[in-house]
Amino acid sequence: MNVSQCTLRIAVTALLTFGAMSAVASAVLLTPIEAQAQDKGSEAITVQIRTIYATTDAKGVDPKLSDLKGKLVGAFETYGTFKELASHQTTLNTGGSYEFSIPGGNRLVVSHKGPEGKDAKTNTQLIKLGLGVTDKFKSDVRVSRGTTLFQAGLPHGSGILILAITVR
Amino acid sequence: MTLPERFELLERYHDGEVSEQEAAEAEALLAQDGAALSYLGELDDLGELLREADALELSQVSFEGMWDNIHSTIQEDAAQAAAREAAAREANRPGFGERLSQWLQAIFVENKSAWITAGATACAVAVVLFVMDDSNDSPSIDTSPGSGGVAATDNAGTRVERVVEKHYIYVDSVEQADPDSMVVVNSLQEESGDNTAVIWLLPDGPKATDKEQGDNNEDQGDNNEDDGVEIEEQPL
Repeated sequence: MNVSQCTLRIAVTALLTFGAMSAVASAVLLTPIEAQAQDKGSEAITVQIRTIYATTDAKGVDPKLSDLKGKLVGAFETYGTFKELASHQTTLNTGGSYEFSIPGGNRLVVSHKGPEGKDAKTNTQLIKLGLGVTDKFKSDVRVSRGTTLFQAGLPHGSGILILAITVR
Repeated sequence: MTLPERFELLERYHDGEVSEQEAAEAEALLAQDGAALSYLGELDDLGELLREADALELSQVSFEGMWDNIHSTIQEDAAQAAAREAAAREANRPGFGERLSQWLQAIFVENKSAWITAGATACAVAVVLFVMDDSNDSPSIDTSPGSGGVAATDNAGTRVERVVEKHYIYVDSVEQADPDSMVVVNSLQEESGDNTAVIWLLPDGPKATDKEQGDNNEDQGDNNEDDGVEIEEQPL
């Protein structure tokens, strides 16, 4: 191999290595930026709605609801049994809404009304939601991502229905 | 000696192309034969005429720049030969696809070690960057809803603070649609500091209040002009 061929090989190796490193570095380092953009109030949210049947029996919490156990036991002290009947998840852009049937003939409606201010203490972005049960009530709430709120009280069987609404 | 042989001998004698013996024979013939002597004279005249003609022709030719002309002619011939060779090479030149194939082969096949080196380096860099990026993520505790966060712990004089994801809920308004029911907003503060909001819909209205609500009921809204329960903005 003469000098020119050796030089060509070195140059090609260096060029390919640099190009590969640049591509990999860009892919890895830019990903968090996209995630931060999500935190800074991008429009889409994921809403998970779980329908829970609660009774005063002392049978415990459904394993599917293990992540909510603390909240359920604390907020609904008079109930000892929590069973998940259904789970729905949807992605909403600003202006979008999601409606589904609740046992008993009612319908829950969740609307995404867009980012709405920040918590004064922590500067956490808040998201405004419309929440309501048709022909029963409607409300406007502002929540931060990761928050779970409950709507409870509709009668079902020997207990009540609890709707756990989690926004991410 | 025949007559043609005599003429041939005299011609060679005139040109000096005879041996000594032949010269003696020619001189003897010239001494004896007047016709031979006359023929020799004619040969002299003929030679003189030819020389004069050559001199006349040469006087009309210029040799000035002869070598330049020869040199330029040689160069022109060489250029034409080169052009023919170039045309032949062009005719035999591989097409674009074939040249591209040769170039790709030179890059990828003959430089296989370069690609292996680049790929190994890229993988190493990706692993390093991924590990670095993953180690910077926080928090290190479970902050999923309902888990309860831990703010800080002390450990042998070393304060360890872990980032806790706080959740916030503001109930801005509640509008009751069913006059026979009651809507109540209840909040419960957890040990983690998070608040749990519950929007109670009590179908039996006030009759169900004591039965359904917990001890942590904090607020009930007054009816407003919209004939509904309206909760003022409040952090929960």
